[in-house]
Amino acid sequence: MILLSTVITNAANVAMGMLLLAFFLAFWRLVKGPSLPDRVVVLDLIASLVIGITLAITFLSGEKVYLNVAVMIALITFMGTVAFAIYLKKRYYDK
Amino acid sequence: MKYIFVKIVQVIAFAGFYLWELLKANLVLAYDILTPTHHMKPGIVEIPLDIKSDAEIVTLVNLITMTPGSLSLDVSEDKKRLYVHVLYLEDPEAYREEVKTGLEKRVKEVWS
Amino acid sequence: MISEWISAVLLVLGAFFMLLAAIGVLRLPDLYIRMHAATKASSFGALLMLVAVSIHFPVAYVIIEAALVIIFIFITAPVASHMIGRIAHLLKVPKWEKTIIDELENRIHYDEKGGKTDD
Repeated sequence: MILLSTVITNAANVAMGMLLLAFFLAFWRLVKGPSLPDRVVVLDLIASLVIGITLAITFLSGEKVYLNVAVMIALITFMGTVAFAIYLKKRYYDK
Repeated sequence: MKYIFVKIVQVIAFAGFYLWELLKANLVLAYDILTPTHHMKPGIVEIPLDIKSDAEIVTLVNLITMTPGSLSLDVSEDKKRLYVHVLYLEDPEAYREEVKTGLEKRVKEVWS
Repeated sequence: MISEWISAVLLVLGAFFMLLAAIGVLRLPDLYIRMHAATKASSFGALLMLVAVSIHFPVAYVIIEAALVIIFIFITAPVASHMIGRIAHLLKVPKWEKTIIDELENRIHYDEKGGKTDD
Protein backbone atom coordinates (compact mmCIF):
# COMPACT_ATOMS: atom_id res chain seq x y z
CA MET A 1 0.00 0.00 0.00
CA ILE A 2 1.37 3.34 -1.03
CA LEU A 3 1.15 6.12 1.53
CA LEU A 4 -0.78 8.94 -0.13
CA SER A 5 -0.02 12.57 0.46
CA THR A 6 -2.83 14.89 1.49
CA VAL A 7 -2.31 17.20 -1.51
CA ILE A 8 -3.12 14.47 -4.02
CA THR A 9 -6.03 13.12 -1.95
CA ASN A 10 -7.62 16.56 -1.68
CA ALA A 11 -7.12 17.26 -5.38
CA ALA A 12 -8.65 13.90 -6.31
CA ASN A 13 -11.62 14.54 -4.05
CA VAL A 14 -12.21 17.96 -5.62
CA ALA A 15 -11.90 16.45 -9.11
CA MET A 16 -14.34 13.70 -8.15
CA GLY A 17 -16.90 16.27 -6.96
CA MET A 18 -16.56 18.27 -10.19
CA LEU A 19 -16.97 15.14 -12.30
CA LEU A 20 -20.08 14.06 -10.41
CA LEU A 21 -21.61 17.51 -10.91
CA ALA A 22 -20.71 17.27 -14.62
CA PHE A 23 -22.31 13.84 -14.73
CA PHE A 24 -25.62 15.20 -13.41
CA LEU A 25 -25.59 18.15 -15.84
CA ALA A 26 -24.94 15.79 -18.77
CA PHE A 27 -27.68 13.49 -17.53
CA TRP A 28 -30.09 16.43 -17.53
CA ARG A 29 -29.33 17.05 -21.20
CA LEU A 30 -29.75 13.32 -21.87
CA VAL A 31 -33.28 13.48 -20.47
CA LYS A 32 -34.08 16.79 -22.19
CA GLY A 33 -32.32 16.33 -25.56
CA PRO A 34 -34.88 16.90 -28.30
CA SER A 35 -33.43 14.55 -30.94
CA LEU A 36 -31.56 11.24 -31.02
CA PRO A 37 -28.20 12.68 -32.21
CA ASP A 38 -28.26 14.99 -29.18
CA ARG A 39 -28.47 11.97 -26.94
CA VAL A 40 -25.66 10.17 -28.76
CA VAL A 41 -23.38 13.20 -28.24
CA VAL A 42 -24.25 13.20 -24.54
CA LEU A 43 -23.54 9.46 -24.24
CA ASP A 44 -20.11 10.09 -25.75
CA LEU A 45 -19.51 12.82 -23.18
CA ILE A 46 -20.69 10.59 -20.33
CA ALA A 47 -18.17 7.92 -21.36
CA SER A 48 -15.42 10.57 -21.16
CA LEU A 49 -16.66 11.53 -17.71
CA VAL A 50 -16.49 7.88 -16.62
CA ILE A 51 -12.87 7.77 -17.83
CA GLY A 52 -12.22 10.84 -15.68
CA ILE A 53 -13.89 9.26 -12.65
CA THR A 54 -11.80 6.10 -13.10
CA LEU A 55 -8.63 8.21 -13.17
CA ALA A 56 -9.69 10.02 -9.98
CA ILE A 57 -10.24 6.61 -8.35
CA THR A 58 -6.70 5.67 -9.47
CA PHE A 59 -5.37 8.58 -7.44
CA LEU A 60 -7.57 7.92 -4.42
CA SER A 61 -6.76 4.23 -4.13
CA GLY A 62 -3.12 4.39 -5.25
CA GLU A 63 -3.57 1.29 -7.40
CA LYS A 64 -2.17 1.63 -10.92
CA VAL A 65 -4.40 -1.17 -12.18
CA TYR A 66 -7.37 1.16 -12.55
CA LEU A 67 -5.68 2.74 -15.58
CA ASN A 68 -6.53 -0.43 -17.52
CA VAL A 69 -10.22 0.25 -16.92
CA ALA A 70 -9.79 3.68 -18.52
CA VAL A 71 -8.11 2.04 -21.53
CA MET A 72 -11.01 -0.37 -21.99
CA ILE A 73 -13.67 2.33 -21.68
CA ALA A 74 -11.84 4.48 -24.25
CA LEU A 75 -11.72 1.55 -26.67
CA ILE A 76 -15.36 0.54 -26.29
CA THR A 77 -16.89 4.04 -26.43
CA PHE A 78 -15.69 4.66 -29.97
CA MET A 79 -17.33 1.41 -31.12
CA GLY A 80 -20.57 2.50 -29.45
CA THR A 81 -20.62 5.87 -31.18
CA VAL A 82 -19.84 4.36 -34.58
CA ALA A 83 -22.60 1.78 -34.08
CA PHE A 84 -25.08 4.53 -33.24
CA ALA A 85 -24.04 6.50 -36.32
CA ILE A 86 -24.47 3.47 -38.59
CA TYR A 87 -27.84 2.70 -37.01
CA LEU A 88 -29.08 6.26 -37.59
CA LYS A 89 -27.84 6.18 -41.19
CA LYS A 90 -29.60 2.88 -41.85
CA ARG A 91 -32.81 4.19 -40.34
CA TYR A 92 -32.54 7.29 -42.56
CA TYR A 93 -32.06 5.31 -45.76
CA ASP A 94 -34.80 2.80 -44.93
CA LYS A 95 -37.38 5.53 -44.58
CA MET B 1 19.44 10.42 -43.92
CA LYS B 2 18.91 14.14 -44.23
CA TYR B 3 15.33 13.47 -45.34
CA ILE B 4 14.59 11.52 -42.14
CA PHE B 5 16.01 14.27 -39.98
CA VAL B 6 13.96 16.95 -41.74
CA LYS B 7 10.84 14.76 -41.40
CA ILE B 8 11.35 14.30 -37.66
CA VAL B 9 11.72 18.05 -37.17
CA GLN B 10 8.56 18.63 -39.23
CA VAL B 11 6.54 16.11 -37.22
CA ILE B 12 7.67 17.63 -33.92
CA ALA B 13 6.79 21.11 -35.17
CA PHE B 14 3.39 19.81 -36.26
CA ALA B 15 2.75 18.26 -32.83
CA GLY B 16 3.67 21.51 -31.13
CA PHE B 17 1.38 23.48 -33.42
CA TYR B 18 -1.43 20.97 -32.73
CA LEU B 19 -1.08 21.28 -28.95
CA TRP B 20 -0.96 25.08 -29.12
CA GLU B 21 -4.11 25.19 -31.27
CA LEU B 22 -5.81 22.76 -28.87
CA LEU B 23 -5.02 24.96 -25.87
CA LYS B 24 -6.26 28.08 -27.70
CA ALA B 25 -9.45 26.29 -28.80
CA ASN B 26 -10.27 25.26 -25.26
CA LEU B 27 -9.68 28.73 -23.84
CA VAL B 28 -11.92 30.31 -26.50
CA LEU B 29 -14.59 27.70 -25.82
CA ALA B 30 -14.34 28.17 -22.04
CA TYR B 31 -14.80 31.92 -22.44
CA ASP B 32 -17.88 31.42 -24.57
CA ILE B 33 -19.45 28.82 -22.26
CA LEU B 34 -18.89 30.75 -19.06
CA THR B 35 -20.07 34.20 -20.21
CA PRO B 36 -23.86 34.58 -20.08
CA THR B 37 -24.45 35.94 -23.60
CA HIS B 38 -23.62 33.91 -26.69
CA HIS B 39 -21.80 36.06 -29.22
CA MET B 40 -21.34 33.51 -31.98
CA LYS B 41 -22.20 33.63 -35.66
CA PRO B 42 -22.27 29.99 -36.77
CA GLY B 43 -22.31 28.84 -40.37
CA ILE B 44 -21.46 25.84 -42.53
CA VAL B 45 -18.76 26.47 -45.16
CA GLU B 46 -17.65 24.35 -48.10
CA ILE B 47 -13.91 23.94 -48.65
CA PRO B 48 -12.58 22.48 -51.91
CA LEU B 49 -9.75 20.04 -51.21
CA ASP B 50 -6.43 19.85 -53.04
CA ILE B 51 -5.19 16.88 -51.03
CA LYS B 52 -6.08 13.44 -52.32
CA SER B 53 -5.12 10.55 -50.04
CA ASP B 54 -7.23 9.34 -47.11
CA ALA B 55 -4.46 9.84 -44.57
CA GLU B 56 -4.14 13.51 -45.48
CA ILE B 57 -7.90 14.04 -45.32
CA VAL B 58 -8.12 12.41 -41.88
CA THR B 59 -5.28 14.59 -40.63
CA LEU B 60 -6.99 17.70 -41.97
CA VAL B 61 -10.33 16.69 -40.38
CA ASN B 62 -8.59 16.07 -37.07
CA LEU B 63 -6.78 19.39 -37.21
CA ILE B 64 -9.94 21.31 -38.18
CA THR B 65 -11.92 19.76 -35.34
CA MET B 66 -9.25 20.66 -32.80
CA THR B 67 -8.64 24.25 -33.95
CA PRO B 68 -10.60 27.09 -32.33
CA GLY B 69 -14.21 27.43 -33.42
CA SER B 70 -14.43 24.91 -36.26
CA LEU B 71 -15.79 21.37 -36.56
CA SER B 72 -15.73 19.22 -39.68
CA LEU B 73 -19.15 17.86 -40.64
CA ASP B 74 -19.01 16.04 -43.95
CA VAL B 75 -16.77 14.96 -46.81
CA SER B 76 -18.45 14.66 -50.20
CA GLU B 77 -18.62 11.26 -51.91
CA ASP B 78 -15.82 11.99 -54.38
CA LYS B 79 -13.57 13.35 -51.57
CA LYS B 80 -13.21 16.71 -53.26
CA ARG B 81 -15.12 18.95 -50.86
CA LEU B 82 -15.14 19.27 -47.09
CA TYR B 83 -17.95 20.89 -45.09
CA VAL B 84 -16.98 22.69 -41.91
CA HIS B 85 -19.15 24.15 -39.15
CA VAL B 86 -17.58 27.45 -38.07
CA LEU B 87 -18.54 29.26 -34.87
CA TYR B 88 -17.22 32.77 -35.46
CA LEU B 89 -17.85 33.29 -39.15
CA GLU B 90 -17.26 36.77 -40.55
CA ASP B 91 -16.87 36.01 -44.24
CA PRO B 92 -16.99 32.54 -45.87
CA GLU B 93 -14.47 33.51 -48.58
CA ALA B 94 -11.96 34.71 -46.03
CA TYR B 95 -12.34 31.54 -43.95
CA ARG B 96 -11.87 29.32 -47.01
CA GLU B 97 -8.71 31.22 -47.91
CA GLU B 98 -7.44 30.88 -44.34
CA VAL B 99 -7.85 27.09 -44.31
CA LYS B 100 -6.34 26.64 -47.78
CA THR B 101 -3.24 28.67 -47.00
CA GLY B 102 -2.84 27.67 -43.34
CA LEU B 103 -3.95 24.20 -42.27
CA GLU B 104 -4.01 22.44 -45.63
CA LYS B 105 -0.48 23.60 -46.45
CA ARG B 106 0.78 22.27 -43.13
CA VAL B 107 -0.90 18.88 -43.68
CA LYS B 108 0.62 18.61 -47.16
CA GLU B 109 4.04 19.46 -45.77
CA VAL B 110 3.86 16.77 -43.08
CA TRP B 111 2.70 14.01 -45.42
CA SER B 112 4.93 14.90 -48.39
CA MET C 1 7.12 17.39 -3.74
CA ILE C 2 6.91 19.71 -6.73
CA SER C 3 5.75 16.88 -9.02
CA GLU C 4 2.96 16.19 -6.55
CA TRP C 5 1.71 19.75 -6.85
CA ILE C 6 1.98 19.65 -10.64
CA SER C 7 -0.07 16.47 -10.89
CA ALA C 8 -2.65 17.79 -8.41
CA VAL C 9 -3.10 20.99 -10.46
CA LEU C 10 -3.34 19.03 -13.73
CA LEU C 11 -5.92 16.68 -12.18
CA VAL C 12 -8.18 19.51 -11.01
CA LEU C 13 -7.77 21.36 -14.33
CA GLY C 14 -8.72 18.26 -16.29
CA ALA C 15 -11.81 17.75 -14.16
CA PHE C 16 -12.63 21.44 -14.65
CA PHE C 17 -12.50 21.12 -18.44
CA MET C 18 -14.76 18.06 -18.29
CA LEU C 19 -17.21 20.03 -16.13
CA LEU C 20 -17.00 22.82 -18.71
CA ALA C 21 -17.92 20.35 -21.44
CA ALA C 22 -20.99 19.27 -19.45
CA ILE C 23 -22.06 22.89 -18.80
CA GLY C 24 -21.60 23.63 -22.50
CA VAL C 25 -23.65 20.62 -23.53
CA LEU C 26 -26.39 21.78 -21.20
CA ARG C 27 -26.60 25.45 -22.15
CA LEU C 28 -25.40 25.97 -25.72
CA PRO C 29 -28.22 26.50 -28.22
CA ASP C 30 -28.02 23.78 -30.92
CA LEU C 31 -26.54 20.35 -31.65
CA TYR C 32 -23.57 21.48 -33.74
CA ILE C 33 -22.42 24.06 -31.20
CA ARG C 34 -22.87 21.51 -28.42
CA MET C 35 -20.67 19.12 -30.35
CA HIS C 36 -17.88 21.72 -30.31
CA ALA C 37 -18.01 21.68 -26.50
CA ALA C 38 -18.36 17.91 -26.12
CA THR C 39 -15.49 17.03 -28.48
CA LYS C 40 -12.83 19.61 -27.65
CA ALA C 41 -13.25 20.16 -23.94
CA SER C 42 -13.76 16.53 -22.92
CA SER C 43 -10.77 15.19 -24.85
CA PHE C 44 -8.59 18.02 -23.53
CA GLY C 45 -9.73 17.17 -19.98
CA ALA C 46 -8.87 13.51 -20.50
CA LEU C 47 -5.43 14.56 -21.83
CA LEU C 48 -4.68 16.63 -18.72
CA MET C 49 -5.85 13.90 -16.32
CA LEU C 50 -3.80 11.21 -18.09
CA VAL C 51 -0.70 13.43 -17.95
CA ALA C 52 -1.37 13.86 -14.22
CA VAL C 53 -1.52 10.06 -13.78
CA SER C 54 1.74 9.52 -15.61
CA ILE C 55 3.47 12.21 -13.53
CA HIS C 56 2.22 10.72 -10.28
CA PHE C 57 3.12 7.09 -11.09
CA PRO C 58 6.46 7.36 -12.93
CA VAL C 59 6.62 3.71 -14.06
CA ALA C 60 7.34 2.80 -17.68
CA TYR C 61 4.18 0.86 -18.37
CA VAL C 62 1.90 3.51 -16.87
CA ILE C 63 3.48 6.20 -19.05
CA ILE C 64 3.24 4.07 -22.19
CA GLU C 65 -0.36 3.13 -21.48
CA ALA C 66 -1.34 6.75 -20.80
CA ALA C 67 0.35 7.87 -24.04
CA LEU C 68 -1.49 5.18 -26.00
CA VAL C 69 -4.85 6.22 -24.53
CA ILE C 70 -4.13 9.87 -25.34
CA ILE C 71 -3.26 9.05 -28.95
CA PHE C 72 -6.33 6.83 -29.29
CA ILE C 73 -8.68 9.46 -27.86
CA PHE C 74 -7.28 12.18 -30.10
CA ILE C 75 -7.60 10.04 -33.21
CA THR C 76 -11.12 8.79 -32.51
CA ALA C 77 -12.88 11.82 -30.98
CA PRO C 78 -12.87 13.92 -34.19
CA VAL C 79 -13.90 10.91 -36.27
CA ALA C 80 -16.83 10.15 -33.97
CA SER C 81 -18.01 13.76 -33.97
CA HIS C 82 -17.63 13.86 -37.77
CA MET C 83 -19.90 10.83 -38.16
CA ILE C 84 -22.55 12.10 -35.76
CA GLY C 85 -22.50 15.57 -37.34
CA ARG C 86 -22.93 14.19 -40.83
CA ILE C 87 -25.89 11.99 -39.79
CA ALA C 88 -27.44 14.86 -37.83
CA HIS C 89 -27.30 17.09 -40.87
CA LEU C 90 -28.78 14.32 -43.00
CA LEU C 91 -31.66 13.93 -40.52
CA LYS C 92 -32.21 17.74 -40.64
CA VAL C 93 -31.67 18.41 -36.96
CA PRO C 94 -32.74 22.06 -36.48
CA LYS C 95 -30.02 24.71 -36.50
CA TRP C 96 -29.82 27.78 -34.27
CA GLU C 97 -31.72 30.73 -35.73
CA LYS C 98 -28.59 32.91 -35.86
CA THR C 99 -26.82 30.53 -38.28
CA ILE C 100 -25.87 32.77 -41.18
CA ILE C 101 -25.02 30.37 -44.00
CA ASP C 102 -25.37 26.67 -44.79
CA GLU C 103 -23.56 25.59 -47.94
CA LEU C 104 -24.08 21.89 -47.25
CA GLU C 105 -27.86 22.22 -47.38
CA ASN C 106 -27.63 23.90 -50.77
CA ARG C 107 -25.76 20.92 -52.14
CA ILE C 108 -28.46 18.55 -50.89
CA HIS C 109 -31.02 20.77 -52.57
CA TYR C 110 -29.19 20.48 -55.91
CA ASP C 111 -29.07 16.76 -55.34
CA GLU C 112 -32.80 16.31 -55.01
CA LYS C 113 -33.51 18.60 -57.95
CA GLY C 114 -30.91 17.59 -60.49
CA GLY C 115 -30.21 14.06 -59.31
CA LYS C 116 -26.47 14.69 -59.70
CA THR C 117 -23.81 14.76 -57.01
CA ASP C 118 -21.62 17.28 -58.85
CA ASP C 119 -22.49 20.93 -58.65
